[in-house]
Amino acid sequence: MRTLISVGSAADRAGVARWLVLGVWAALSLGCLSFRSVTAAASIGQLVGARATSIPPLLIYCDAENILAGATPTCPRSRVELYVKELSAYSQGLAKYGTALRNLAEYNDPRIGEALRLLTYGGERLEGFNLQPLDATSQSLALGSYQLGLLLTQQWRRKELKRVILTAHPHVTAVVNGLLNRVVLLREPIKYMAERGISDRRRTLVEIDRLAPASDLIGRQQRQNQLLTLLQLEFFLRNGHEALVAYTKALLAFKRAHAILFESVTLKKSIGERDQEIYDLLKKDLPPLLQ
Amino acid sequence: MAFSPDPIVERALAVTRSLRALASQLLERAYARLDAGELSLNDFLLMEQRHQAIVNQANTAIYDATERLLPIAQEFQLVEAAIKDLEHLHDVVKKVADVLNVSAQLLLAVSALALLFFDPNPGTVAATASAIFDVSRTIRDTAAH
Repeated sequence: MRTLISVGSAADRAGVARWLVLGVWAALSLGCLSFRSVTAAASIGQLVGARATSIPPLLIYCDAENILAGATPTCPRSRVELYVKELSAYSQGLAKYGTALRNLAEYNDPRIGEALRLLTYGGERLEGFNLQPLDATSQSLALGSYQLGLLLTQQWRRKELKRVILTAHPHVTAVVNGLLNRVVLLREPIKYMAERGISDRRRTLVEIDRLAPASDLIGRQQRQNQLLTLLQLEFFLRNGHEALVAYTKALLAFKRAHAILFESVTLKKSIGERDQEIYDLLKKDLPPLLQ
Repeated sequence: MAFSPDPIVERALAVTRSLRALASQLLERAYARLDAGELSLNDFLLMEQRHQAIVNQANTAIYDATERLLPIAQEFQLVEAAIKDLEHLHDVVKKVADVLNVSAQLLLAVSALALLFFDPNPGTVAATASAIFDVSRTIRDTAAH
């Protein structure tokens, strides 16, 4: 390599090296940015899986609802058990999809770059089969080769990610919509119990206690204990409902993030070219949905 | 992003929220009449039961609506296919990176060997030995995977 470069002066060689490094660095930076949006959207998908922990307690809420319902239970426990299994499995599936997207977007193997760096590092310093002392040109070229090694798989990954996002988008949207419809319905009785049902029961118990004869000491003690239990249940239901709302928000945010990715890949421009725009849109749209 | 729910969900929410509001109004009136001494405790508890019956109707309607939603299992199978596709792509990119890595290291070892042949000295011997060790270790690791 030095033989080729040695046609010019040392300053020329340094200039060539600098341009080479700059070129490779610019192309690599563009590529890195493009994957940033995929990573951001995929992280929201992973959040859906993390927030799906709010689903299994639906069975406990179902039991509570049936106790309050009286003689005829209203919550079909066996069906709710199936819903819980379905919702949990599909949410974990979406999280797995997010992880797989992220793994491909973030794939970074420095080994190729390292080998190329060493090759260039040695080759550039070679003159007449003797290694010359280390200089700035050797270092710049070695750095450029390292970046080139990182670049090798990027275009391919970007193309494949685009294909998968295009193919999967309608199905991801359908699954998210299905989950949203189910969870919006199933959280409704819990919302009522948390906001009104239990506090009404407590109020009734207080009225009963007020009207009970002063001599009914055992009854009073029992009613106090029941009030404490209802207080705990109310707290539990409130937290459970909030967790279900947070899960719904994660689903909404993932739906929006995937739609942004889909819209970006359906345009003629590549993800890389529009990355800043896509990333800004994700940054603008997602936080309000998650709050 | 606004979520537009399925019409079944929309209708169920509208109907059951009205029912729940009605039940709450009924109970509020019962509390007021109990406080005013217009209702006995027994009559109040009867009103409370009526309130619960309305809430029960609302809850039943919610589960009926959930049951009527279209299944999503088929759509999910297609998402699972996308997951498998992505995992396969990840494996492919890993294999390509392995091959490129071995090739680059092999080239490095051959260059070092050529240098050793023309200019044998302790430095080139050490560099060649290190390059050959690296490439054989990489080949062994890649084969083990």
